[in-house]
Amino acid sequence: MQRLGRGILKFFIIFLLVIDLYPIIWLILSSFKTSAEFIKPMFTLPESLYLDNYTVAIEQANLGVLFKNTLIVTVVSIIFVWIFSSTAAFAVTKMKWKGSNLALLYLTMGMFIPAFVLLLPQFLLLQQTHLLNSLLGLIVVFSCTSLSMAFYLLTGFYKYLPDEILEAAVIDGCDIYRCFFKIVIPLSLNGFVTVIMLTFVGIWNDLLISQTFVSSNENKMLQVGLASFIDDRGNREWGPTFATICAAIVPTLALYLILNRKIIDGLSAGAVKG
Amino acid sequence: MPKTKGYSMEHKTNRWGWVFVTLSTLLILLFVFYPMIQTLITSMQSGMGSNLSFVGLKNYTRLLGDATFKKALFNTFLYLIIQVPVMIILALLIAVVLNDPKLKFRGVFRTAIFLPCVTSLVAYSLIMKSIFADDGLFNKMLMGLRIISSPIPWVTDPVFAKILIIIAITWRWTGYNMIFYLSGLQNIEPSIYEAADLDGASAFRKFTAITVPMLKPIILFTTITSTSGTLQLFDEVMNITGGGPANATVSISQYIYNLCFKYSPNFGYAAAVSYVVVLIIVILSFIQFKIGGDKREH
Repeated sequence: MQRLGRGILKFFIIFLLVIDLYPIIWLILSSFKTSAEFIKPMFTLPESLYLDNYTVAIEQANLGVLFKNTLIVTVVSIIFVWIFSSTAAFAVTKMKWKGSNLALLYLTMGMFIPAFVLLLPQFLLLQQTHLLNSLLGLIVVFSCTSLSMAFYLLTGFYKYLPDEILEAAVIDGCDIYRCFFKIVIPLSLNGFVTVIMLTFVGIWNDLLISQTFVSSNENKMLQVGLASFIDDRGNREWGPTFATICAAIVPTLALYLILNRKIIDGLSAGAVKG
Repeated sequence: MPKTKGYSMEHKTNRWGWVFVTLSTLLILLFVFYPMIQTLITSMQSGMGSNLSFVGLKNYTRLLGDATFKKALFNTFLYLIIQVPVMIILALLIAVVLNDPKLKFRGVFRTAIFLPCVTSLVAYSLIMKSIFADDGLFNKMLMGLRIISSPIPWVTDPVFAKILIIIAITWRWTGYNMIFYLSGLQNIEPSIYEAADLDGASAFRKFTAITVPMLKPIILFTTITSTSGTLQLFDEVMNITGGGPANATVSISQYIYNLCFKYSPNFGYAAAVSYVVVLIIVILSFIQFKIGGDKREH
């Protein structure tokens, strides 16, 4: 009976693994197929590493520009989100001041407001400030809308920094600046990695905001460009389509696989115990 | 909040506290809370561009007779009622299985199951569309096993299209929720399970009497975030079925998007629709807090 149970468990796990991994592996393998191979059943392996799909993708989908825009917007937004959320979360959890509880409530509430409620007024705000159709406009919107989630996760982290360390440092004459840079930052690296990764994935994969606020070709974001590339030639040229998609998911996959242990630990510490 | 007694620089931190939160507060005020109030005002207006006139609750009463809105609301609730419980239970089961210390390669499984939620939306909708195409892998598999005799029209049939959306969301988000449970499980003392083993408790009994009650706060957290996420469902519907066939899969967010940017723009009405969603999210979160909170006291 015990053995049967374990057998079922093993089957269940392997089944899940296939469901989760196979589509992604299939996607990557398909990007190396020639157009003739796409007529064959979809689970056949590519016959060779056919790289022309990628050259076509880079030239025709304008991948270089799409990557550059997305990278600029994502990295700059992450820097802003990190600076604002790490300091605000520190102020709210580790300092004692009038209104800190109110600030905690206010900053966390932003997390529960659906993006589409804000879309139209944000659109008009950007129009008035002439930031529509610009990377800066996207950076501003992404930074503000990603801030609450980052703040919430970081408050979860900071709660587990022992107060005694900070108190000892203060007694030794450490000012608030040095407390933050010499103690809080080095002890919260896991938390920062989690926040940065989640913000990265959120902005890199966003479609709603980037498609609403930017329509010009030179400032287009990756996912918007991909979506229109697929609309254009998805049913005719599968090879380049798969190649563009793979190129677009490789950065997030790589980042995730490198940081994965830290992210998962961080996610749990921030949200679960908080 | 942790106790911060013993701080010797209270008046100083008072000032720096304000400095640290001011920037975040202003940014969120300008791009989150100000737009939210703006939308509330717009929801009581009608007209185009600068020719706006105050119409009170007229936009809201109009909702009652809007067939597309009702359909979108119905679809969204259908996704919510079926998908959220299925995903939560599945995530919980996977977490329990992966928490077994005798299991080899736990890290590999954990990584793999989280992977779908870092793949990009465009990639994932293409994957779903290909696998669930008429001649796609899934139909071929079902036909090979002789479960069905002709391919299921996943994208073009109103019922199957809804099922496809539910499968797609579940594929992408189960791993995300599983991670929270897994870390919660690691915080449960093994001695509790050992005591239950001595009393001869079955695996099912241990699950319902120890695991679920201990994880209640996390189940509450994931239920609230998943509910709010499903009510905001946009990407999947937009990219996999486009809301079709004939609005059979349209979600509220997609309807709002169409009202704002696709049909002849009717901002006041779109704003009213979005406020209804905000209201639903607030009410459901409140109910879930109530239920989750009460059970925790036992």
